[in-house]
Amino acid sequence: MKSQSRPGSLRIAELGFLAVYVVANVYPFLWMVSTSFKTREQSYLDNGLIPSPITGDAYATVASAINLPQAVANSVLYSGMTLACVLLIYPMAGFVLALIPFRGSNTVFAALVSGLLVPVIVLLVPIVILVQEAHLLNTWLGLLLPTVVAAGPVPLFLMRNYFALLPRDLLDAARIDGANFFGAFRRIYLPLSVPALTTVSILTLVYVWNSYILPSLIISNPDMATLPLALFSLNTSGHPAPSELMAGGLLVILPLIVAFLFLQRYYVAGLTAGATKQ
Amino acid sequence: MLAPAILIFLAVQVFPMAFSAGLSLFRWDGLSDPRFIGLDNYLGFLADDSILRGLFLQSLGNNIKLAIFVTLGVVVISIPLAVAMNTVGKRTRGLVRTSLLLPMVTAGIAVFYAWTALLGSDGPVVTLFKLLHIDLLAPNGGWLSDPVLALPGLIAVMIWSGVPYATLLYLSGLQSIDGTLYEAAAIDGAGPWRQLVSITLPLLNPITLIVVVLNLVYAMQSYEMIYLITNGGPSYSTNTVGLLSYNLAFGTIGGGSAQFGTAAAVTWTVTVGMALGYVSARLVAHARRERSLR
Repeated sequence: MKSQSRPGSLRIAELGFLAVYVVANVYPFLWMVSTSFKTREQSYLDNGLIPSPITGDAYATVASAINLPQAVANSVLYSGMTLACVLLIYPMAGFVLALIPFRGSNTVFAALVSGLLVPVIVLLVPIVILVQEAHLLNTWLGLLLPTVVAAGPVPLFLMRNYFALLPRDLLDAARIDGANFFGAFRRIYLPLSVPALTTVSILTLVYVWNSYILPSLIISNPDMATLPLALFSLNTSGHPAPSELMAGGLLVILPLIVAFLFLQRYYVAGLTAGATKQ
Repeated sequence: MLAPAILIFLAVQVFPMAFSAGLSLFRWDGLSDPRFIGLDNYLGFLADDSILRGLFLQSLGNNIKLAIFVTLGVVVISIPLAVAMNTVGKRTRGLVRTSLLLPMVTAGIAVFYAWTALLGSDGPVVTLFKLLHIDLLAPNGGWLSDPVLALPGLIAVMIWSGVPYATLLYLSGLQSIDGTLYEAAAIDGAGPWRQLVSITLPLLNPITLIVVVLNLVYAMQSYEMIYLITNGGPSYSTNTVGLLSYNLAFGTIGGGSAQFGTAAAVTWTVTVGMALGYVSARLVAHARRERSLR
């Protein structure tokens, strides 16, 4: 479709539609930023986007109400550990399922990916009870295990599909040269799968960084609270003004937004891979 | 090499699912000894206990409304959005795409709080409708404390968060359409509108299928977002089945004591229902394909 062959009115309609959408899409974030810099009183009543006066009081209140460095450290630890486990387990599994045919490999793949369709809520009750029975409440291990599985189906799906696109000849050549499956995976296929690994990492980080309910049921020790838990505690420990909630919220999502402005190319490519036949 | 994935899957997915299926046959509050009661938990919310049954049906109805309206809204907004993105210049497209990513990477408690305030009593949405004198859409307590408007409010938030991914999928679908189709159509005298209806939309059908399935699953499973925004209120007008189960197990429904058995039974009923729906949809599609081949 060449744009110059299109009538001008259509072009204007398209641009207008895009503009309206972008404003509606971004408005909540602009409003968050603006509200977080308002005074306590104004944040209840004033809906303008330019705060006057501009004040950082809300951030100061949040910083004194929750242990911010601790919450950031916990979130980084939780996300990092989950990511490490995801990257350790699922590329390997995807490699086997894509390139090493064995009886029932499709069934195994279907079973592992079926987790996508099982509502997390089905697992929530038994997992919390089991974690409790195993005396793993308020431990990182107790939180990590269910998270790694809950975050697993998408990475496995993406990795398996990515490996299936890579030539099998590489594996055969490596086998002839005396490498075992694991050697071929580590030396040849893993280095080739950096784009897929990047996508998997991004998806996993977004999921874990924002996740609230599972951590809230397993972690009650405030010293282990991740950022979302700390933000929620703001709500239960007092009556935070909108300015304070928005300031806290921005502190939670700011790292993600900054990271994604730089990584968006990989993110988009990975998210849409497989939806259309290449 | 496959073993770690299978082991952890068995331990944290299969075992808990079996455990939960078993649990649904017991009465257990987590403190006293569990008591085997057969299918009584299922009979309770499906037939015997009229309060719980009403709550279950209301929640299921909300799930269905969410599924229909969120899916519809996402499809109706994201197709024209993707089409428009596909025709504008590269710079504009990049800009719109960056804005699309914002809701996707921030979906969580922070943004849910923002929406709670945006739809709240003195928030911009109510203020706007007050200015326009559309009092119906400007309740004094805000959208989310209004029994009629709370669910539409949630639907709006879910559409807002669902549109970006659908748009990216549609955009990738558009970019894979062979450009010569349009050239041929233009030579035959088809205008932009005709090209859209006869070429673009039919070729996007496979993407629409993905988008519909994703959003149906999303709407049926959603509970975290609803828990954080309305927790099912006011007076259960936004309660969903997932939330019902959550609150039976960990929350306030049932006089404060946990009802793990009923909570498990509720989720299993819906899971089995969804599985049956999926299987029958597959069978219908299969039968239709057979017929068209004949």
